[in-house]
Amino acid sequence: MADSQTFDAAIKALKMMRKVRRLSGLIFVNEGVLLHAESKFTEEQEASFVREVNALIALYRNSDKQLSRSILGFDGGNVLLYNCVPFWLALFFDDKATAETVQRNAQDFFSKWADPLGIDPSFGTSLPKLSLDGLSEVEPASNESPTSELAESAAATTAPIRPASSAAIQAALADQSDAESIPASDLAAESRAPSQTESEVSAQEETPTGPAPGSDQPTRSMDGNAQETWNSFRSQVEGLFSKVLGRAQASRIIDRELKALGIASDGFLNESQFRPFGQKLVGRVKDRMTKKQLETELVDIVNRHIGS
Amino acid sequence: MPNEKLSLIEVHGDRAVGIRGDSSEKALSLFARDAESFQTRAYLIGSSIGMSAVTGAAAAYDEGTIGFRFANSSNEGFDARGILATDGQYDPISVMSCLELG
Repeated sequence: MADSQTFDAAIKALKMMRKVRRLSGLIFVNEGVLLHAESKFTEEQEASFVREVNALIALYRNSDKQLSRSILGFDGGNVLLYNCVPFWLALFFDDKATAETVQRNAQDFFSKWADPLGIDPSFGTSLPKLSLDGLSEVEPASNESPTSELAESAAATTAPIRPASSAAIQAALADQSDAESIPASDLAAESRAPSQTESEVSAQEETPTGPAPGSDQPTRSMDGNAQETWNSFRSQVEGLFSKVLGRAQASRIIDRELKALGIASDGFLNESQFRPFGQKLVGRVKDRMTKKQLETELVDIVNRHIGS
Repeated sequence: MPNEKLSLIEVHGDRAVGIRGDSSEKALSLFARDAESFQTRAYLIGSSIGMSAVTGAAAAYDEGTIGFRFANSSNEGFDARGILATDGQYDPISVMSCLELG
């Protein structure tokens, strides 16, 4: 059992790591309670983050699994998470390309502090890297219509793993003040489809896979809602930039950026790309005051469109 | 002979489709169930710090690894792509790299 002096020394090492390694932040938690936080977030956000990560860890624990490491990517940054019971450490970083470096530093920290903190020393080493080399392709049954055959031979109807609206999720989880006390089955049911009724959930549990044989229900692809959301986002961003440019010029700049990303003229971006795309556009504005104003309004526009 | 422990999956609308490796219904529905709850939790974690769009996530846990990422644009032709490994823990960063490359 580590004492407070050990905690202090470990926190000092984390502070040093953050300073030297240009992490955008870190949060260190012991037995679900915040031990140390250094981040750009408010105290309230940090507390909320700790609560939600505790819930993620509980989700796995309640399913008789122990989460060990995780990486979470968001439109505004990334989090590398180590669940080294009874501690967990979250490292925030902006650039995905630096993930390996962040990981190496975390492993250095753990190899040095595993013993004093009494945690599993394996956190100081890398996990095997996944490779898809040599993994067999799923072969379509016929060369004539490979897509439909493929879908019929190997498709399961699922609740789409697209982010539900925040309102739906919050409503579904409203009673869940402490996820740790909720049985795994309840959690799974809640998170499978927050907007579904109990009967719909149980019906799905009974027939979790596959459409009826021969049925070929249309897929809800990105061409539906996603296209509409993009059109609305684009229109509002055009409106935003028309404050500093002509509307036609704003539209041309958006087209140019899309082209640079290799997006076809009738194509669109997924909502997770709205913020980075908008930031790229804002980055073209030279005047700092104008840029700041546009950034603020852009965040509003992004938030209005995400999970809508 | 399919790899029975590793699946590369694409999600098109409400359907999960096996692309490489184990594409059995069991693997697909296990992925769908676990990815759904994982992404909901990831969404709530992101929301707590003002980042309400999840781009992707991966997790290593006892005896398994799961990862997914959403399509960046309509060009990619799928809504989400995922990986499920039931033969042990893999480095989550390498899982995300595999999801980028397919």
